[in-house]
Amino acid sequence: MTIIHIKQFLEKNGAPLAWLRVQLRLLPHFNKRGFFLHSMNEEAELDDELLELIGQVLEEIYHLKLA
Amino acid sequence: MNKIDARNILRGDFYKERSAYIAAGEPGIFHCHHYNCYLQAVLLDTKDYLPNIEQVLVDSAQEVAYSQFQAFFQNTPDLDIQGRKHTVTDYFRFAGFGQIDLDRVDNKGGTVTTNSEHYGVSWKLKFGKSNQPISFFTTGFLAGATEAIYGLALGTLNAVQESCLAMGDKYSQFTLSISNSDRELTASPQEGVFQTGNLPQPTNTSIDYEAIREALIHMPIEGAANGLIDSFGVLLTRHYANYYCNISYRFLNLFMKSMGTEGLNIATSLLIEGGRVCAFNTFGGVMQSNEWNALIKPMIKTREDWIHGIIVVVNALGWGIWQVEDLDPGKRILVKIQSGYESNAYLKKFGPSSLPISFLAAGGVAGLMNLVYALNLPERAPITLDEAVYKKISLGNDYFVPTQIKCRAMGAEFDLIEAALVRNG
Repeated sequence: MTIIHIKQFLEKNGAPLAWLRVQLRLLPHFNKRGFFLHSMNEEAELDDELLELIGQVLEEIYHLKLA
Repeated sequence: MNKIDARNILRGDFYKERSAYIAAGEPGIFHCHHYNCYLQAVLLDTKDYLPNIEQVLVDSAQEVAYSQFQAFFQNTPDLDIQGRKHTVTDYFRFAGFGQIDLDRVDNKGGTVTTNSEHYGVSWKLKFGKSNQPISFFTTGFLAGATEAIYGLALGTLNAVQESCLAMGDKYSQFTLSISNSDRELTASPQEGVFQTGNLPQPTNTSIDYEAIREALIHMPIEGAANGLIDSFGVLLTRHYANYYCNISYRFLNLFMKSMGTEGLNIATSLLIEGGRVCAFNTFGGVMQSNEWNALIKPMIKTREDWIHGIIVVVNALGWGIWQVEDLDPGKRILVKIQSGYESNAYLKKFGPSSLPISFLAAGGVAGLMNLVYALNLPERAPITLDEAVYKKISLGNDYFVPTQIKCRAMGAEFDLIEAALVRNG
C-alpha cells in the first residue's frame, strides 16, 4: 500500500487534515524509513510494520479501519 | 472563615482599550471545548517522541494558576485559608472549569475529587472514551492554586491525576504531594506586551460595534452549579490566554529541538487547524443562538454583516482588538489584530519570533469565512454543526485558507491575517 492510497482513503473517509495528524503522530517512524516531508515519494510502498502503526493511529483517533 | 464579600470574589475586569479581560493580572479569554480538546489532542500526538509534552500541559496550568492566585491573595491579606480556598473553587466554577472542593488539601498535598470537570466531560463528549487520564490543565491548576493558598513557592507541589471522567470513571481524582522533581516552573508572563487602541466602527456595515460589544461584555456567562458553561451549543471556558500560549509555543520549541524543522509545517498547520475547529463550532454556535437573533441579527442587512457581527463578538472574547481591514465578498478577507493575546504572550515570554505565531487567529479568520461563504450559514441556519458538516465544507470545492501576513511577534506593528478562497481539486 502506498502513501497516496492512504491519503485518498482519508480524503474520502477521514476528518480534515487526518493525514497530517497521522504524520505528526508517526514522524520518527517515517523518518527512520527515509520518508522525509520535503522529499516524500507518495508512490513508495509502505512496509507492514508502518502500515500497522498507521492503522492503529486511524483506529484510535478517527475510529477508522484502513482499507 | 471570612465573610464572603465582593473583595474575596475573583472576577476581573474588561479593558475596552485592549479588548481584554484581566483577572488578578491574568488575561482571560473565551474558548470552547472543541478547541480545548483538539489543541490538546494535537500536542499529545507527539507524546511518543516528546515525552515531556504531558508535563508541559500540567506545568503551564500550574504556572498561570499560581501567578493569578498569588497576585490576588497579596491584595486580599485578610483572607484566611478557608477564604482562599473558597476564592479558588468559586473561580474554577465561574470560569467553566468544573466543580471542585479543596477540603482534603493542605500545605503538604491531599486529594481532590470531582464528578464535573471541563476537560474530562468534554473529551469524552468529543472523542469518546480515553485510554488515559486527560485533565492535565486541572492537574496543574490544583497544584498551582494550592501553592498560592498556602503561600508556598511555585513548584513546591506536584499533582497527578488518578482517575478520569473521560475514561469512563465515575470521578476524576487528583493527588497532590510535595514535589521531589527538579521541574523548572516560571511565573506567568501575565498581561504580556499588550497594546491599546480603539474599537473601530466600519462605515460599510450596519452592525453597531460598540453597542454590541457593550452588551456582550456584560452578559452573565459563567459556570452553572456543576461548574460548566453550556452556551451557544458548546461547553465554554473563560480560560487563561497564557495557558494556550505556553502549551503551544513550548510544544513548538520541544518539537524543533527534537525534530529540527522536519515536520514544522505539519505542527503549525495543526495548530492553525485548531483555530478553524474553534471558529466552526463557537462562531457557528453563536450565529445560531438566541443572543445573536436578539442582539445582532436585527442589524444585519447583507451577508457581509454576518462577518462584522462575529468580528464584534470576537472583540468581546478577550482575544484583542480585531477589525476587518478589507473584505472581498466570497473571495478574501484581511483582518487586523492589535493586542492579540498570542503576540502579547509570545513577546513577553520568548521575545521576537522568527516565524508567525498567531495560529488561533489565523485559523479563526479562515474558519469564519468558511462558515459564511463555504457553508453559507446565513441562508442555511438553523443547521446542526457536526463533524460531517465540517468535513463536507473542508473537502468541498470552495475553502478558505489563512496566511499570516504580518506578525507582531516578528516585529510588525500589528497582526494581519488573510484568508483567501482556494478551490479543491
